[in-house]
Amino acid sequence: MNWRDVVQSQKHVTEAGTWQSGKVARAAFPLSKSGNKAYRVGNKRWRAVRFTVGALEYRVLILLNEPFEQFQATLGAIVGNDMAVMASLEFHGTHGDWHIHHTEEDVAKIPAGFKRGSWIRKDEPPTPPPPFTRTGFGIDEPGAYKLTVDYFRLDNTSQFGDTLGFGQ
Amino acid sequence: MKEELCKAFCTDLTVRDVPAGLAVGTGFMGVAGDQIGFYLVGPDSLGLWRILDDGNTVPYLEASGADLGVQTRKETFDDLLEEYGATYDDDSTELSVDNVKRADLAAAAMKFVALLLRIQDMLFMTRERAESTWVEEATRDLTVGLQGRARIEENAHVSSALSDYPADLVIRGENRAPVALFFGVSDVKVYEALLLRFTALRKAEPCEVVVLFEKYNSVTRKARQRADNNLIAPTYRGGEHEAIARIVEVATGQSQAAMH
Repeated sequence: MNWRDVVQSQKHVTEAGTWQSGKVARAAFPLSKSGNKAYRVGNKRWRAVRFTVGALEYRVLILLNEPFEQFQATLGAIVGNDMAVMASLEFHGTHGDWHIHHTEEDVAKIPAGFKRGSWIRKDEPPTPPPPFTRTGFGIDEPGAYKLTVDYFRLDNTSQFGDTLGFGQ
Repeated sequence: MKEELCKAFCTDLTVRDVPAGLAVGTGFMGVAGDQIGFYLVGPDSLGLWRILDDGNTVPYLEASGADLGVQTRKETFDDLLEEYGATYDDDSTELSVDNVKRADLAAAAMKFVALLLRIQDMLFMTRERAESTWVEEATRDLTVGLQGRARIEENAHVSSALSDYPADLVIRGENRAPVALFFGVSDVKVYEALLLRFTALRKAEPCEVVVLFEKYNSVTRKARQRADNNLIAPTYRGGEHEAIARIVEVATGQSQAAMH
């Protein structure tokens, strides 16, 4: 199952999370490469959503910094005590374009951890549907959560079509 | 050449208004697969500015396995901060340079980009061990090839005016511009080399900049293209003699054949 399969599968959200500041608890988003440390997000607010597809467990970690216009929603699969990062929808104020880092590999073939190696590629939406206005941001916490739910189909409805706004 | 380099640097430069201040994007690719950027916040009541990263640089390194709790890495990190007059806020995870005068902002921003590139190098500190074989081999070949006609300095800077842009090797031949050599083990190294080249031209400091790659595809295609177009960029494996001969020629003005 790759990230597109996960997005298109029927999901069961087990915990919608709440917006928080400070370190991301290991249980919310486990990363063995960071040793015993929790993942630090510093100047960002974060919210972790837990869901399952069949027997497998997944997380989406949302990071938001409104003054810096930064958004990141990272989809990962729980593999043992670690996380296989499958896709990350992002906007950075320093470049002002929506894009996604993703791998088309099956979750079983994705190296655990946050590091982005040659298996990860980056794509930008070819024809930007809302809210992918390329240069626009204007997202607050409710908006960031809604975008994440819509994009990764956490409510099992399709808002972005089968190409997920980024083509095949 | 200066115009070409200025164009290469400025084409990818973007400046956007964000609520915090100005968000600046560069064409340098970071290790997380996004272009390196920074923010300019200010001026404050004294007319001073703050340059800072997005707060992702250090958390990404740590989440990728570059633990700053490890003594050698922590020392390297602290040394870099001191060298560039920067600070790191452990709560906000932001790297910054504070109290910058408006007149100094552009030069300080370029230095800050150099700092971000060098901090990202720390992710490769473990990988460098595996890569050290060809680096040592190439350094040895170069020493032999130079036949004592030029001096090699490791982890050195070309001149005091370029002290913020150190190279892996600096080769100093008699009556020749010094040669700054970078081992092209990552895109970051290519961008450090470009930054040195650009700054040297801007400051009219004589130097040649070389990136020596192990293989043709040691870095991304974009980084390789930039190196080929703007720097001296030989490839070592499969053409060891030619690659070393090219560097020797740049450093001494003489071909290896002429020296035999």
